[in-house]
Amino acid sequence: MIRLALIGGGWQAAHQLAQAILRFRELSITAIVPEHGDTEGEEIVRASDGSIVVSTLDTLLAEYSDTFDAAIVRSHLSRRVSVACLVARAGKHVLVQSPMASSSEEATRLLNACNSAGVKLMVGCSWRFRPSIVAVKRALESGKLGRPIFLRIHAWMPQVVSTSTTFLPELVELLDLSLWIYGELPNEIFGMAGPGYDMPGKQTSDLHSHLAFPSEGMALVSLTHSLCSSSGYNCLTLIGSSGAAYADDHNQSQLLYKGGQPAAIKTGEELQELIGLLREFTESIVQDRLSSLTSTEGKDALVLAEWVLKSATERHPIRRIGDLYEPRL
Amino acid sequence: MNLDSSVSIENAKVRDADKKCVFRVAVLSVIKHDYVARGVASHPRFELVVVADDPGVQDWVHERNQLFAEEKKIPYVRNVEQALKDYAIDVAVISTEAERHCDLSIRAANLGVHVVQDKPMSNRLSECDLLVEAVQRNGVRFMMWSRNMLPAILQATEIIRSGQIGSPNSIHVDFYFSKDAGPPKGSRKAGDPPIPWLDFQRAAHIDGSDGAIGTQPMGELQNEGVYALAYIKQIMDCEFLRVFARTTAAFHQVNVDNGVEDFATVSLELSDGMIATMAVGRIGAASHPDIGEIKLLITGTEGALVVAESRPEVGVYYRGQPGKEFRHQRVAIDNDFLLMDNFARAIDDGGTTLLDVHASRMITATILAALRSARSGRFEAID
Repeated sequence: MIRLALIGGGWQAAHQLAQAILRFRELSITAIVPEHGDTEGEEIVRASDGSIVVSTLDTLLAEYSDTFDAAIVRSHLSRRVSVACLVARAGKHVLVQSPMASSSEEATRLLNACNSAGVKLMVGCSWRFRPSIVAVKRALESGKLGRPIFLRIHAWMPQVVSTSTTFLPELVELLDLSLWIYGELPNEIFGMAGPGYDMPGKQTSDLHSHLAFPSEGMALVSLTHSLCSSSGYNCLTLIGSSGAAYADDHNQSQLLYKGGQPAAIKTGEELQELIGLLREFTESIVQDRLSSLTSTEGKDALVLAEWVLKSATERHPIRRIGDLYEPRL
Repeated sequence: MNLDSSVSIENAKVRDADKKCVFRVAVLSVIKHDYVARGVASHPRFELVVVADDPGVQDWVHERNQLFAEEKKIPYVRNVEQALKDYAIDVAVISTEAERHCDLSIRAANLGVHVVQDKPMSNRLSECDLLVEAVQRNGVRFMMWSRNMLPAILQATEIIRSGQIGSPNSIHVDFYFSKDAGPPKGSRKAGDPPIPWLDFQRAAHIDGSDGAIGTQPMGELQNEGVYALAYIKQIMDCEFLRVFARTTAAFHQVNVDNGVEDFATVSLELSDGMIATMAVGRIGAASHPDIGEIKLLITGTEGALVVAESRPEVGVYYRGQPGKEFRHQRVAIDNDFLLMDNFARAIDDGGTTLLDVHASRMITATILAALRSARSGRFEAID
């Protein structure tokens, strides 16, 4: 049995985590630290049947350290690394929400802390475990699609879900997928943002990333924050040299008629995505191996995101020379 | 780009003005997409009266022109200027090698003849500039053929123009043709000669996939990329400013042998701060059950829109179905009539056409800048 502590995160995510945990014999939530002293944790306590709820991380580590073996760190990005480092130093394995840090320097700090403590660190890039994306990856790995030539990802999020004006959290997830598909770092990066990006006091809602890989593959990754809808829209297309795979919410929606224009209702995959993520984390601990999503990969995606944002700000491409990226003026 | 109420199918079909004069049309070379000439003739106000070409073109060009003339029971004249004058031509329709497009269009315009031309406008910007000047000087109308009147594209345009998603911010266009273009990449054996471009394109005429025919090899960005850019131009109602692009020859040996791309990705800076991306290519028949994935994704200040260009469509599946038969058949297509109705209106009213000479030039300039970016790795200004 692996006992988990849940640190941070909103009620909706925590509730979903409790639903996912129900599928595991070998996994339980034994402790919860709600952020900001809110009461959301009480909901998850009810859902997870008797976990300890404490108000601060210090209390958890000082008084209840023997109640858990690993922690899911979903703290706010500004505190994520600090929290995860404290958990690691307490000898607990860490599943940290993506992005693992707010900067590549901070990511390095977390990596070092986990290495020094000898604990597992897995970055929770959940898209990798989405059933439709898993099916695409399996088709690629089976050789049916040939070598990857082009990857397109669109992720449109409702405004209420988006918590950042910097694009960083979602961008890191999507760029991680690109690196996962191609298995290499891009040698060219171009970022482009929509109206208002470079205007003081204004925000843009659109960010495009254009990547080129040494194997001649390419990727277009588009992110939008402003969807006026209760659910988002996601689409991933992978074109290989001998086949293609299309995972598109457009084809995975039901129609609802109740006056006016019909609404498209998405058939969700989020719970299965979370189950896949937890299974991989658990098995990496039990089998004492690296997870399929290593912390180094998590950091690579973060570094790439930083360069995309720099390119979008300065409006010129970035190229890789050896191990270093530099602007191509 | 003129997209007024004339694009409405209902409006177009009930206009009494349709019963005005019939325009006499010359087909100036019809060696590739004869669907352009057929599309022109689909409108009752346009009548094909002659096929013409220059006397010095190769024999196979004469043969194709002759065949089309015989099918339509109209004469074939081996002298362009003579045909335009002797048959009192109002409109020329041109669908030949890309490098001859502008020359024929300019000669028609100089005789006061309106022009409907296949894509691309040209593979040289200098030729486009000459055509722009000729069209303006002679006061004739010009329209480049497009798919912009397909039902889904019209619907998308109307949704954006009516402000249903607020002000548009970004657009992405997928334009993948899932046709093969000869043997796959890597199939050439050591010692085999490279595949000759023109010979290959001539042979591809049989299934209509010879859109890049000409002596100069032309990649998919120059060929199919025109359609995607025409969609962006129409829907976003914008100018194209700068471009970043990557290209590859990943699928077909003929593209590898001739040094032209069969797939490209493009990032575009548009006017008013808007942005666009597109992915264009010929990805092989195995990669899609139908003609290919053609999709538009548009975001705005108050919403977003996902459009499948193929819809409306009907799925038809049956025992013994040939492998190459598309399982989904597009329906309710009125592209040809609506394009030509727009053109007729432009002639009648002296207005602009759906894809006029300036828009067509900008599309060509964008493609050439994209190819330049693919070589330089830089964010290139569009001339």
